[in-house]
Amino acid sequence: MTMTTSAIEVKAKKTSLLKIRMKKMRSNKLATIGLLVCIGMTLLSVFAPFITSYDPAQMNLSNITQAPSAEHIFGTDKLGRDVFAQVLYGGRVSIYVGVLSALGGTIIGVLAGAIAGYFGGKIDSILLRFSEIFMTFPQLILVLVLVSLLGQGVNNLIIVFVITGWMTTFRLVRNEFLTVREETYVSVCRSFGIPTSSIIFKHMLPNTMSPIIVAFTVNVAGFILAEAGLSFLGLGVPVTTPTWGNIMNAAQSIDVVTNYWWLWLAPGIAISLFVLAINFLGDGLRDILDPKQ
Amino acid sequence: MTTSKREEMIFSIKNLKTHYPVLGGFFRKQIGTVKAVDDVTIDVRRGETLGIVGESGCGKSTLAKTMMLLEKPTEGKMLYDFNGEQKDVTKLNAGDVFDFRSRVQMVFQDPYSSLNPSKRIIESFDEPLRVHGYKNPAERKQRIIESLRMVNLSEDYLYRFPHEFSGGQRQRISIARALCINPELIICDEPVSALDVSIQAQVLNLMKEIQKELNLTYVFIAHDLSVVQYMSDRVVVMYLGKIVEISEASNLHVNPLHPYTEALLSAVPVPVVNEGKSKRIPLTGDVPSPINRPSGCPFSNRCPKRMDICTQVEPPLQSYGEEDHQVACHLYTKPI
Ligand SMILES: Nc1ncnc2c1ncn2[C@@H]1O[C@H](COP(=O)(O)OP(=O)(O)OP(=O)(O)O)[C@@H](O)[C@H]1O
Ligand code: SF4
Ligand SMILES: [Mg+2]
Repeated sequence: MTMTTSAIEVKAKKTSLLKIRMKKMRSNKLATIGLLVCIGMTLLSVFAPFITSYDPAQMNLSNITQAPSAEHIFGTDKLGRDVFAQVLYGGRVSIYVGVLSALGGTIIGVLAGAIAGYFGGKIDSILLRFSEIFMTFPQLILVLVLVSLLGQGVNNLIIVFVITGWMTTFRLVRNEFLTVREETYVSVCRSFGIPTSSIIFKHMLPNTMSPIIVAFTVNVAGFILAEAGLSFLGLGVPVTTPTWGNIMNAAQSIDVVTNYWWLWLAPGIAISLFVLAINFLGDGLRDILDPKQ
Repeated sequence: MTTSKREEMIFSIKNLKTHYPVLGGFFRKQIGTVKAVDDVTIDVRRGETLGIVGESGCGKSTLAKTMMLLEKPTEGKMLYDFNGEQKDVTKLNAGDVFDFRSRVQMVFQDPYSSLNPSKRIIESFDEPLRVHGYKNPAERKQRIIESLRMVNLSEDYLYRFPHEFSGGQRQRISIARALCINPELIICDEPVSALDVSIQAQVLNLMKEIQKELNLTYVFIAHDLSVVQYMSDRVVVMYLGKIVEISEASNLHVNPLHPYTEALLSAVPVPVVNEGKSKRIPLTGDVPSPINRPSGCPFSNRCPKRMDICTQVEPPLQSYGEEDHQVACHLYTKPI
């Protein structure tokens, strides 16, 4: 019985730390706005069917390139599809690609970085050289090669992003671990015979978490932009799947850019807003998670 | 008395060497060797405090870490007494290493980084206890409270974070943590050198009390000879990775043999009665780097009593006078 009480005690104290962080979060206006915008846009995308009755794929050739109106608030595209519905549904894929790619890159980066930084020596040099090869190879060419190898598709794009995007987190985590490794508490853990995996993940990793989280947010933003860029060039997600980049794909001609501004402005604003918001959030988290404060 | 003590050896270090490669150049090739610990032989006897003293950089921490199996020795044996059975801990299997770690613990030099900044005090104790077989959380908590009480800290501190404590409190917490799994030998690597002088005595006395209460054996390291003398039964004087003198602590300031020990002693404000006799022997020059040690006696470039032989032949560690008093200096080398 006492066991449960002590567990509860720890939990109660833990929440108080969480409360402190929440308080810090709320006092940081930009971060709060960033968080709310991110959550808001994600929810809008997820619950798109409840927000618009239009099907983003539904063509209506009698109603093409309509300027924004009460009926189509972001207008319609060259095939008469509702742009608002496209932006909502497109957000689903774009955010999914961004978050999942960043998550995959973070997991690989953290694992490899922790191992390289903790053990050092040969394994470190091998992993470091490996990451350098990836970093010095022109990123865009690597992406193009991989896309053509794997074929176009949402999940393939995520795989490509993970393969080409784990190195920044890797280097960051490796450097953090090289520093933290010298802390005496690591030697203390070793003298108690605590298993290495536990030393790395339970004792050291929590102290390197804040830069990892910040890097994660930066990566989400980066991958959303990369998806938009690739799709705009027609190399990302197949055009049949709506993404923010694919919607912009229509704006490749000067004609569209000058005459049908809503076709590129709506998805453009969606991308910018989301990326900006997540960057605000990342900046805020950097301060909030700093254990020294 | 001495002989009965001698039989109860707990940790016997034989010809221990811990060398670090010095890497350099574009291809990070080995361009030299730091002989941080070089041919050290020490017997730690059960129940005693063995002091180790020497200037900064002479290899004290490296020796401590090697004894704690945190650093791999380059050469040598370390025999530990597992309930009457002597085993070389450099060649143990994983299970025996774990057994060793439950018997030997270490208190580290830096109290500020020896507690994980993101963990509450209770969490810093909890996993070591769990790993060492305390399965029941309530029992673990009880054990943590007991250990904290042993260093005069209340259980109110259990849920605090390290940054809420002073250096002295942190070092006491570190001591409590080392004690919590009930070790028999504690290696203390300069446990008070980072603390205010006013706090030092308090922590030292606490450590003495705890030792008496729990029948602990201490290996006590410091760069301050007065602290080592106060704490220890025997004192090992190290210079550049080597032992230059081993003596009873009570005898050391009365009858120091090695010129380096004399110099250390003269730098210490010892409360001696015969003030008129004490004169300072200045230590001139810096400690040479352990990478390129002078040939012959390692102290020869700073020694005021240097002789011709000193730069040519390295003096061996030999008994002089009493059996328990050993010195490595040509002034005392027995003619063959
Ligand atoms: N990991 C390492 N790699 C290379 N050289 C090292 C390493 N650790 C220690 N050394 C060197 O070994 C020598 C002894 O260092 P050590 O830390 O054992 O000295 P110390 O007596 O504990 O000094 P202090 O009083 O400053 O703590 C020093 O010259 C140091 O630079
Ligand atoms: S051996 Fe020679 S140089 Fe070394 S301490 Fe003795 S007298 Fe001095
Ligand atoms: Mg040291």
